[in-house]
Amino acid sequence: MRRADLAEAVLSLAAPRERAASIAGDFLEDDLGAFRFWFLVGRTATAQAWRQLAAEPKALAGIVIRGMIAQLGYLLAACIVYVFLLIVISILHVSFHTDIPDWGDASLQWSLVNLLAPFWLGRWMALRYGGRAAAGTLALAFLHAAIDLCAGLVLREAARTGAGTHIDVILGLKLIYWDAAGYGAVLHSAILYATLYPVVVLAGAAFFRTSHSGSDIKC
Amino acid sequence: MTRAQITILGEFEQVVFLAILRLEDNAYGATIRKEIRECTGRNPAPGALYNTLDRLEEKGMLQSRMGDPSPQRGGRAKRLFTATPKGIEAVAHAQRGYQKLMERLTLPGVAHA
Repeated sequence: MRRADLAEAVLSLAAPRERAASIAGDFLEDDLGAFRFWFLVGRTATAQAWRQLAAEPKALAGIVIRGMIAQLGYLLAACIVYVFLLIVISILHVSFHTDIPDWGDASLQWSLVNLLAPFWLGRWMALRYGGRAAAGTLALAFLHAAIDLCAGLVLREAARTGAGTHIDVILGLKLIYWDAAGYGAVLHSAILYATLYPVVVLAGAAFFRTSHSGSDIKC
Repeated sequence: MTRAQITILGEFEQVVFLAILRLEDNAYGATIRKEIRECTGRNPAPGALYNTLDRLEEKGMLQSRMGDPSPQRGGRAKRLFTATPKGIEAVAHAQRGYQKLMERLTLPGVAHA
């Protein structure tokens, strides 16, 4: 099904809103089938974001640095949500003698770190950077994946020389959990950053763009 | 304008530019794609087309303005393009180069001036 408002929201992550609207209008005028329509929307948004990455590397480096700081803030917010949920679960446990299984807690942690925090970050990206949100998200995803891979390699080398072999940042949630012995986990994290992470961030950004039709904030 | 001042256009940029010149006051994304398809037989990717249009506008070879919204386009305005004198000079320069290369060549099915 062709949804012009959603197509416009997706395109507006990689172009100013006015241009995104005109591109969406062009696709509507072409009278394409649903699959072709969405294929072209995705391809065009990717091409526009890629051009921004190549044309404005310095501006995007700034976006990435601010994005990482914002992500840290959203991860801390996710930690607070997690603690709040733990309190609720504890009250339920005391009141109704219900236990939360181990996989339930792990799923909750995974969802907060990999879905909720990136979704919030996407909304922030769209609010702050409008037509450059997609390029910023892609750059951020590449950087995260590269950091994970590099950290994994460094830890593995450190383990060979007998130095410390893990870096943990745990605030209720496992924010960072790099372990040389579990190199596969580091690789898994890098793959997540290169695949799921940009999708969730862009979903958050597109959600924001569909629900807020105002003009872009100039940064 | 000296040779150094003329911006060199790539092959696809020339194709896009010529399509805009042919369309006169009705050059926007959908019609430019259609014109290129009908004249050259190639179907340009929209991403490549819009990137080229943005690049040509940044180089000062094209100007764009928003047209009126239409129901056929879901109430969305057209982004209409027009050539600037700088762009026309650049495409004329490129075409003169092609013509020089074609001199004394005979290609089947190609009419020569």
